[in-house]
Amino acid sequence: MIQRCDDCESWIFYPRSRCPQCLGDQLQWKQIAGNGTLYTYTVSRRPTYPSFAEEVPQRLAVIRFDEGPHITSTLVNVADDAIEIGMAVEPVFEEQPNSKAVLLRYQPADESRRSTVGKETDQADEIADSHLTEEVLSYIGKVGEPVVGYPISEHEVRRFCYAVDQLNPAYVDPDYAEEGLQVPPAFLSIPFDTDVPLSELSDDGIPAVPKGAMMPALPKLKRRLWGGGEVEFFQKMHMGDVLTKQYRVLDIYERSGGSGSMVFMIMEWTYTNQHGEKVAVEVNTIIAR
Amino acid sequence: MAKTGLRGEAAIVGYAELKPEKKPTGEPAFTIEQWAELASLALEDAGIDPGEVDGIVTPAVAESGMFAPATVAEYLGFEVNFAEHVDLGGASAAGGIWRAAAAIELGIADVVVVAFPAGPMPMPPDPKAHPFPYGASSGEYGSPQAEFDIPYGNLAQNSGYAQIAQLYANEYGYDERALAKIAVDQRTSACANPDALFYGKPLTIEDVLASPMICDPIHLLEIVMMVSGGAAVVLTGKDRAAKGAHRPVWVKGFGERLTFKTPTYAQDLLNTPIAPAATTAFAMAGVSHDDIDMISVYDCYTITVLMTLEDAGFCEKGQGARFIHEHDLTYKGDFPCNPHGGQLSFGQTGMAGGLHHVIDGTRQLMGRAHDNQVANCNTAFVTGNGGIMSEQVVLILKGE
Repeated sequence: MIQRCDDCESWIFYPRSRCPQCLGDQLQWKQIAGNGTLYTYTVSRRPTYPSFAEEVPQRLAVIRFDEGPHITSTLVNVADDAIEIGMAVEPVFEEQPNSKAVLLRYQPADESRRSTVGKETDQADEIADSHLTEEVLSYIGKVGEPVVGYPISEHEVRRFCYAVDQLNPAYVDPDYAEEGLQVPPAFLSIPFDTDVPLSELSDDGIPAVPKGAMMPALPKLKRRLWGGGEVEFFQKMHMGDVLTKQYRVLDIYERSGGSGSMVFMIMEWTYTNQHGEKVAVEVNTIIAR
Repeated sequence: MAKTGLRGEAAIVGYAELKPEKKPTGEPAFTIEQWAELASLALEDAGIDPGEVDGIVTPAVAESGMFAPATVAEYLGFEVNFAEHVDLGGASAAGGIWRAAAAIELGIADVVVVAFPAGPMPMPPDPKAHPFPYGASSGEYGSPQAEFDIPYGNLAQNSGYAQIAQLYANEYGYDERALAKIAVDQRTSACANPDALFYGKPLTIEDVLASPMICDPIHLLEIVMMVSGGAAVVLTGKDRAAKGAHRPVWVKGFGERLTFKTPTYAQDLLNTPIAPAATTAFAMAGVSHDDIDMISVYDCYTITVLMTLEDAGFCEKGQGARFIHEHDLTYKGDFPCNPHGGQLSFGQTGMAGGLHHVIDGTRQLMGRAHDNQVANCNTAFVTGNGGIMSEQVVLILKGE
């Protein structure tokens, strides 16, 4: 249904309260077939807004209804090389899974131009462009060499607490707790150092691969960033404990975002104490982009 | 046809430009603070006392959703006869220049400051996310774009300009090397302008074509990079201008034309509003294309420059690519285009980007461009472009 002006007989889209040709207000809703031709289009290789990331490549089209007015749409069931300005197109109503909305997409009217392989081709392209080679994926499940830390000392705990402004007397005041000073949970990763001289840091300031860890080479992705982490504790740490941590790659997957595709590496560090008891498990996400 | 419009008796007599920066080094400041800073610098350049300002032209100010001119006037201590808020996107600055010139010629203002802040602003302590931050597209309640365009992903600028470029390609063919040469020639000029963002970083056609495809057929290096900055100019009338510190730059002619917001609803995307705006401006100024010594045209994308060359009549429709190959568009070339580097290479300082084109022309006409000075430069053609090539302002400036 689009509008038609009784006064000047022009077709109107999008709906108005008055006709944009003559400003007449005698507008009627009329059923139309919805067929038209492709006026122009572009294929956006980057999402026009983050919420459209799943739709990339977006085949953004302007359709000219046979009646004249233009409408914004996207092309479906067509490969990029079969798109031609001026081609006849027909409507495809697409219900949105997460809302009651129905979007009006368009496909070529000529069946020989259509291809359900449109999407498959894209997937093939994506796989060809993917950073996830067999070599990269083979890292999933790999386990690193155990890394032994240095003994947890009152002195180091105190230095840490002052540095992070955590002045809880249970951690820093020897007169406070009769059974001895406690170790703050956040100290978990502190008694390990990366053992990399400044000159061996990579361009982004991170050691190429932290000691005990294993990461696949991703030559096209120069930058790495911290994607968050969580720690589960199974028991307390104590002064004098010597922790050992061991690395395991839980998962590697890829996502496309506003600045191209990114690889997410989910890695786990398991911490045990000198008695072989599990102290904590830390799961971190590293994003390479 | 009787000559209408400006008589050419108002002139730009001073300007201020902040160096565009990708990562701002200055302290964040509110729009009105930046306005005051820019106005002060431009008035100093013009040698005019702030007490003599009686007109202002401003874009929207972040601190006040309404009453932008009053907010500025009060903050700067101006009492004005002419207070204008121009809302034409990238054409706002050029649109502001002719409005200021008209106010001066009408005798309602004597000294008008046009300032476009574009620097970093302080974050509010409790930042409220804008519900629909869709760039040039409006997601507001009742907006036709919110209902008919945004749900399909048709929003912001890249895809609209790309749709125009695709349509152009279908009608006239598409010589991507010619489009890339626009960016390359402008980069050559930027390399002679120490203030330009990409100073010292030469570019080749191959570099442009090897950059990622963003929206077919537009590559990354054919799109402006948004940076921080800011700019201002001062205009005044005949008597004062003659006594000024610099060679006055007269606003001889202008044209303005606005047609749509979303390209979908343009009946003919290939005939842009640049054409009628340019025709009006040339007629008003009484000059011809041959009189133009340099152009500074709004270059958000390379396709904008190509279509401006054609629709403004510098070459035949469909012959833009050939024209670009046949001419050297650098500051030292036979057809200088955006000698400051253009927004593609100088940097796109938000709303101030359009004012840098005005200042680009002004600086050349005043003879203050140093290393990228265009020889014998007396007449300039300047454009402002807003929306998706849908809001056009053309200015003809003359130094004499």
